[in-house]
Amino acid sequence: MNIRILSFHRITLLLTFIFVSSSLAEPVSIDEIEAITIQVSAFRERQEAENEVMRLSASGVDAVIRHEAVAKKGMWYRVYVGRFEKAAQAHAYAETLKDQNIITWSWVKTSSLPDVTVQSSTPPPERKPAPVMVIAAAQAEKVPSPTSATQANVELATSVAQSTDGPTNPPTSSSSQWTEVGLEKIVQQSSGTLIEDEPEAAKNFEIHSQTTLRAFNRDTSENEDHLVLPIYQYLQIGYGNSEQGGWSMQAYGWGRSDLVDSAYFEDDNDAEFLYAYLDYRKPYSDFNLRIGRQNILTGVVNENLDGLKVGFGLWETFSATVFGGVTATTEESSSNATYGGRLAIHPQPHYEIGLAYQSTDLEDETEQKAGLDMAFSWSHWLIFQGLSSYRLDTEGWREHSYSASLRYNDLSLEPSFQFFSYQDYFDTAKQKNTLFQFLEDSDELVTIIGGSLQYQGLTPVRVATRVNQYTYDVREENADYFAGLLSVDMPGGSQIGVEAGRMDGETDDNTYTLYRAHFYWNDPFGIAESTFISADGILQFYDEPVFGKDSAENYSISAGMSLLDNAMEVKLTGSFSQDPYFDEDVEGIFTLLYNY
Amino acid sequence: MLTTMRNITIIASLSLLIWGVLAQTAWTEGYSLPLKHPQEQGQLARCSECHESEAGGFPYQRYEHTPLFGEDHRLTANGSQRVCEMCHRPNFCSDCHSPGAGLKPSLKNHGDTRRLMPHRGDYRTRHRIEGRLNPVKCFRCHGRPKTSKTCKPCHG
Repeated sequence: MNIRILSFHRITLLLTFIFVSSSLAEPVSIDEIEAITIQVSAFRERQEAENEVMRLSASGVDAVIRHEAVAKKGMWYRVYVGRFEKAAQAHAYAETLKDQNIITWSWVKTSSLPDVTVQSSTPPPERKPAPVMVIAAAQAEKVPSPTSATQANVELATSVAQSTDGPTNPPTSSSSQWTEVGLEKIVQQSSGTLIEDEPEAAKNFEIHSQTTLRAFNRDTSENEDHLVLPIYQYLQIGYGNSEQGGWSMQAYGWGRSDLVDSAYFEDDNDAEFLYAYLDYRKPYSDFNLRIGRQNILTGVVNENLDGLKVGFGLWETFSATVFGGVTATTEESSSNATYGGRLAIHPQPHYEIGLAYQSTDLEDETEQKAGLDMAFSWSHWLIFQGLSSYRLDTEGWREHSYSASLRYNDLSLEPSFQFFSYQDYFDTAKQKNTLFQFLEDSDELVTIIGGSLQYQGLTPVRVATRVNQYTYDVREENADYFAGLLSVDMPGGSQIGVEAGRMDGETDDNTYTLYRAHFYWNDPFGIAESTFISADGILQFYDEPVFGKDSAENYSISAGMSLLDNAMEVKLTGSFSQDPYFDEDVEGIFTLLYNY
Repeated sequence: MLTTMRNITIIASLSLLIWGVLAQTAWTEGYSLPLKHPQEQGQLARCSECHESEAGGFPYQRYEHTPLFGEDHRLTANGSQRVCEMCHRPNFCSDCHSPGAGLKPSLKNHGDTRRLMPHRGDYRTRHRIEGRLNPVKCFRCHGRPKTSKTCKPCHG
């Protein structure tokens, strides 16, 4: 039945597609080849992409548009600049465009482009007149054959904004063409080569699948050093139009099976429905209706429940959320009825105060908490946000968490304050039989004061430091934490980074030092943009030995590649570690990701 | 006291629900957003590269993915589900924060060394220290019967 409905759906889409395609004025076909190019932007709306092409043309940079399916993000109008023989040339050209403030973002990649002359890497002349009109006419004459409606890639635009000589050699008469044609025609003809990957309606149905196979050895209840070979299957299904709104459906869950039946997971769940709900929403509206298993994260409420949530706005100044159902976090035999809501006041979008409440019925008592959350921002330099949560049934504050962010250009100073009362935080009947239950009797009060300093002005270098001081009321033992990280972001998504951190307790058993170095190398050796190699190395030193060892080391190396136009991705990781628990621990992980 | 609070809450919630549904038919809110960000984002969202701060009244800087955003996003993400879903897929948070997500984030996303994730390296030993100093951090994910199962083999 479902297959027949799906087939009917596809036939309908195909007919619509044929009708729309055949109704376009003077379609033309263009041969495509795979080439290294630079994506400079992407838009949901075609008109915005066309405007971007015009803007680039005015700067002497020719561009093409492709309408492409992006994994997990739906359909986008991507704007590409140039074609290159080597990735290094593309990166250099992208940097030049950034230096001239023509673009702010770039992604060097291999993509299908019209079969025209390969782009040189020479930077464009500054602000030269747009060559769009002349080039468009020449290209249109060059490829006059009509497009078949069933062709996978369909030419929708009437022109090509790609110079056969590259932007370094534009026609000299282009400026007069601009004057003669007029704005409306320019918009139509300078829209670049627009290539459809697939019908837009295909974005209504999404499947994200992850299959992960692990292999390692562990002691189990039956054997020592037994091979464990679990395979995990994650599946997320979505149906609905994520841009237009309306009704949609989302479901996500996983299952696991140990291929060698090692008994290592005998006490764990083998499958879980993480969420499954129907959702209604519309653009530019705060109204949202959600029915099913879902996570409620609003104000001081963070709950997984099976039930209903309704969110809406009132007079632009207020918004509210109400929810009710049974908790989905406990075993089925002890699910608890819960309900609550949050009312927020935001006279301006950058000033918001919310009041939230949640009540959960337990066997012989009712657990109630309420709280205040707020977020303020002043101009571009100060952001203040935080929350306070109060237990109505125990009559005590559970938590105060506040942070500020002071920004000056690329420098960000973020002081923070946290306070927790163990009695009011951990005394929750919902969580009985967890190992945290004993903490409620400690009457401990912990205060964490600290913050971070982050700087992103040394592009591509980013640096950050963090300091936290832990103060305890009962056990009178403080601790300090210091950490720093430095990363270098390379073009194309590659990154090299180092981290160091030290937890410095007053006693040796609360003290450790950690060092980490890692890299992520996208498109190694210029093979393909869709491949990567990454590695991670972590060293840890403990001031007081644990099981006779005072250090640990972990190393991992990974490789992966995307297939089927990024619809599929395979990853393989091998890791080795030595630590107080294992003399040697070797693990292999293989993952297959599929996105439809 | 509790019964009174509960009744007040129920009445207030139902009133808000009715008002909200009615409001949807009468008003189009101004403080609202498109469902999806109109332009594709790269690895790290830097809103201020394109947006003037608070242009249109929206606090873009609050959502900047700074180097430590992976560790510090709690207060920003709280109540900002609508903003997060403009770039991330619905319930993206559940990849890491779901009770009983199966694999810990650093295993589920193995190979992606660019993202800050807890539990990397010898966390089995480190958690003895961090759990003593700030058990609240552990409790947020492992404080529920289902998720605490990972603790039981050692902690009972």
